[in-house]
Amino acid sequence: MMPRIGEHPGLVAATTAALLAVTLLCGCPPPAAPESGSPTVASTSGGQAPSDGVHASASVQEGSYGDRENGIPIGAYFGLTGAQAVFGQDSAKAMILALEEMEAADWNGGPSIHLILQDDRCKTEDVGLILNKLINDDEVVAVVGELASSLSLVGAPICQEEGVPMLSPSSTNPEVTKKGDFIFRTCFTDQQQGYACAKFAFENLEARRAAILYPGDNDYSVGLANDFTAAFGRLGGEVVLSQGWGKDQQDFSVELDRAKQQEPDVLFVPCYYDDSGQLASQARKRGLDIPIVGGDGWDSPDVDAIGKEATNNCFFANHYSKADESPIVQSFVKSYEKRWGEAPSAMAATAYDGVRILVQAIRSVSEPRDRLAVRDALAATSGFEGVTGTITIDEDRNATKSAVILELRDGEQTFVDTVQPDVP
Amino acid sequence: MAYRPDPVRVYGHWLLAAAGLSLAAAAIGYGIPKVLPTFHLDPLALGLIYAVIALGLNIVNGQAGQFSIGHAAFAGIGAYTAGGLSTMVGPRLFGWGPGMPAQLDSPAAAVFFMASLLAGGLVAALFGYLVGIPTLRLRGDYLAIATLGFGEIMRVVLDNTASLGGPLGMHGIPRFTTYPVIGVALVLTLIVCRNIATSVPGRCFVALREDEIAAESLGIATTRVKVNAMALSAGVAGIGGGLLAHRLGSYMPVDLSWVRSVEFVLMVVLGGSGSITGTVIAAITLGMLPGEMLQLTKWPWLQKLIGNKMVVYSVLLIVMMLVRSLWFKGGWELSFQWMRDSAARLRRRLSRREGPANG
Amino acid sequence: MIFWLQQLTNGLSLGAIIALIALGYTMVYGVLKLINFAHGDILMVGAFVAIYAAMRAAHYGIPVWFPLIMPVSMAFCAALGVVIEFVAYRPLRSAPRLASLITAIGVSLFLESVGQWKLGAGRHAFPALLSDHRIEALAERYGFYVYVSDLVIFASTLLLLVALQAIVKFTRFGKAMRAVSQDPEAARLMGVDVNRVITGTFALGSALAGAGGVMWGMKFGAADPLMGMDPGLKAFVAAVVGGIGNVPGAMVGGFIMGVAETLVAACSIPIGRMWGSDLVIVGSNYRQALGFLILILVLLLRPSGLFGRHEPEKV
Repeated sequence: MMPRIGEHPGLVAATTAALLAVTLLCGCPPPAAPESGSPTVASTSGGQAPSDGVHASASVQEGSYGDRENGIPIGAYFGLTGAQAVFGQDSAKAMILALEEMEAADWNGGPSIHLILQDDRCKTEDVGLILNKLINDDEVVAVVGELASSLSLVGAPICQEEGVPMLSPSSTNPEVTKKGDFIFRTCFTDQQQGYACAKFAFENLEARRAAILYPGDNDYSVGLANDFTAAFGRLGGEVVLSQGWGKDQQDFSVELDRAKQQEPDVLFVPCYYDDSGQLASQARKRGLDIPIVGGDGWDSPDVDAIGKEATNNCFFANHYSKADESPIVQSFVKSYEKRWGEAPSAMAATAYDGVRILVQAIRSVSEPRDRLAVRDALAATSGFEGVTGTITIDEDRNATKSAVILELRDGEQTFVDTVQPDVP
Repeated sequence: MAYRPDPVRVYGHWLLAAAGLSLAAAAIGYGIPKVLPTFHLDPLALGLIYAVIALGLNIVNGQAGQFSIGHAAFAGIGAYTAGGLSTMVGPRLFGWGPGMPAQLDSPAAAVFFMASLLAGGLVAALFGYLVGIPTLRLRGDYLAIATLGFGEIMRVVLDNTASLGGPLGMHGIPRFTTYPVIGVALVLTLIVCRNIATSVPGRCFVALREDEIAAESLGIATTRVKVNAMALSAGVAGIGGGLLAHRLGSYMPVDLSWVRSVEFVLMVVLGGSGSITGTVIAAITLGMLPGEMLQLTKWPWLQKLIGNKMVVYSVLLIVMMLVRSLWFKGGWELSFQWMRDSAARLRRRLSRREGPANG
Repeated sequence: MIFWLQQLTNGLSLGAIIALIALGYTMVYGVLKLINFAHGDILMVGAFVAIYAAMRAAHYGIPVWFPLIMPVSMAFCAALGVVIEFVAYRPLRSAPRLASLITAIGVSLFLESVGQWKLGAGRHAFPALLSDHRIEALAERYGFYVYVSDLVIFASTLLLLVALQAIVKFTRFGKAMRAVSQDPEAARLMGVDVNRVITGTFALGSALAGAGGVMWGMKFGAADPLMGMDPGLKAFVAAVVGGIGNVPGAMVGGFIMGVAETLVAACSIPIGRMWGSDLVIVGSNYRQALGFLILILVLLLRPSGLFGRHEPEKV
């Protein structure tokens, strides 16, 4: 008599596990860089093949990078796992790329660098633990981090108290650098960016009524929404709707319908790139064909992959343009793609510049392990030619740099305009 | 003739207890920082504060057997209250400038800090009471969901309250929670928990956990007892939250989410539900784990072996539960009785070995 | 008016997917009395399997069709569910319930961390498995947007629900499931192979989660390793609202959650000021909180959920 399958649960489980393993192995895509925007198989009346598949991108773990033995230690704390891991991963990848380039160039004759990368899992308490370890245990000269303004605000008082320079490559909340003279940032603030977007919407798009939709659980978006509102009002426009959405929400139909009711000329959506593609596609589906403007959080290689044609007529502020012909930008984009198999995002670009500004400051000092000297050198950074523009650190330890407005057209980013920082 | 207790024995015991506990608090507060290498101090401090919050959860989860996944919210309420007092009222009373003093430099400041912690605990207890009244009619998993819902509601409310910082959270909280403070707080919490466990209300909780209907038939007003347990538990968690806020210097609405609550539930369950000792040990271990794992950067080969630490953590969790019968003894407590019994057992075993020779 | 009708449609569409996932939760709970925290993550696996399957199909020239991809996801997730049950839950059958809960959390964390590790933390584009047409007549005349994909999701969900009800009510296996959920000991005495039933229930529930994942991906166009948390939580709440362990209850609960959340988010009713400056409104900002508030209200009125059996405790 045939043995009943139910009597051998172990066998059943083992077979299913084996089948699973086989399917997983077959299903794993080759780790080649996908060509963005290349269509594949012709579709039938049913569906359409994905033009850009799942590329299993390598993920960065915390650890030591660079010259472990003799390098000048610098620390970095990002969220490499957890809810906002994608931003930490991008920034870490760019930093590692920068370090590898410097190492390949034999550190350009200066002191070598040892990067200690730690993962704060996007949690408040890990920030203090990491900084304590980096500062007291590893005796780093300076620290790069964090990306989210809220976590930077946790770390800044600690670094200030311990007298360790901290450089945030992408925290845009104005409060961060106000914590003390050891805290720097190499990106623009929410106020500058809000102004840039508002000016673009008002003057270039000739919009007078703006509807704002943003993720309400995220301090970057809330801050940028507030600053845009203020700037747009100052210019003479009217914000007809300001609506936040909840954590992890992916269904924006309600918010979009409410915005549609108000008949705006432009939609301002200061979200991150993981939401922007879906938002654009859902907006178009619901009949909102007005221009959509976003902040620097929109920059990523995948926005158009998720949004496809919906992202036409979308604009966003950014630090730089990938299509920029300048050799710095092009070489960065190419090396990043070659190293990590994907195009760099805004986070990657700012982190790349941030770490190089720090290393330049360290190199310019006679005693590289002197934290105070490094701080002074950072404060004196002027005219640094970075991927994200020419960066000068002003007396408030913020970066004075202009924003560019990019347009998404057929999956390509095209440069539209540059807006000078001009916040009253 | 009525029995009159000998004053020396009674007061003597009290004095001995007070002395012993002060010694314990001092040992934690001053001894640990001297003995332990500096890079373990921070994770341990965090672990000890989590122990306070976990002990709070233990009252309602372990002892009273009511399943609550919302305690990160109670801790958060305590944190925001205490932190709010320190950031908004403190500067006006004490003239603290933008460079806030990290020490409690005057007795008045210490009293203020204690008061704000207690206020945090009280507000949290109030919320615990309010949450308990409607939800404690629910059983088991329904209660779990209701408490989870409460936690999420609080998180969303705080996210939308710009005057408390919104999603950015509260920052600039003076970092008052040093080891002495933790020592005192932990010892006090342990006293409270121990006394609850051996007191009448505590035994009501246990009766409730073991068999609710039997307890009710014996005259225990179950709903009232449950609500009290929730309120008390929330209060302790609130004090723990206040301590946490003053250690980190910041607190954000995302720290009230159900994911954080689950971490505390983990500590209570891994420690053996109801066991005070177990909860403290589990809280310290789980609290120190992230901090200790940071040290891995010193050994790249070990890091490569481990790969992704979150994956290892989750596998460890599963494995721990699968083999829990090997190490987990629910209900076991470190107590003087146990120590005396173990000593007696040891003595018996030793004497048996010498036995035959002695005849 | 059209606006509210539109929101109702949005809500029903969302509710259908939540109902599907809630079914899986409720089935597993009914049979094992276990809250399977990993359910949302099985949904995530289903979505990613669909992405891979679509890619492979495109590679080999097979048309990428919804009726072809969905069964693949469902089968894979069913297999995954069986393996998880065998490895993580079966050894703890006789343990206190909290132990299985912890293991469930561990499995959930495991799936999420492996996902983040191997797939990268960002969002991946989900292939369009259905054509993107909308019903033009309605769109043009009334500004009312209904999409073919929404209708298909709704229809397939109903189909799966009906199929599940049929299995539970009319097959021997369904009868065995009901028996085990009522009293495992008695069922064993009656000759029901409890292990087989539990394995089968897990497979079925996970398959439904996989289907839910595919539909979620189709509706929202993207998938990421943490995508299971939000629908998982909503579905859990829905299952409890409907009375956990009750299949039609989970269905109703799912639709209630979807519609209620959407309708409430569509309002913008101010109800007062907090601390003198912050306007508290019933609206999108408070969307998630209001979903839970509804839950608590329902539980207050009916402590065992809408259709839950009030099981009197035997002393």
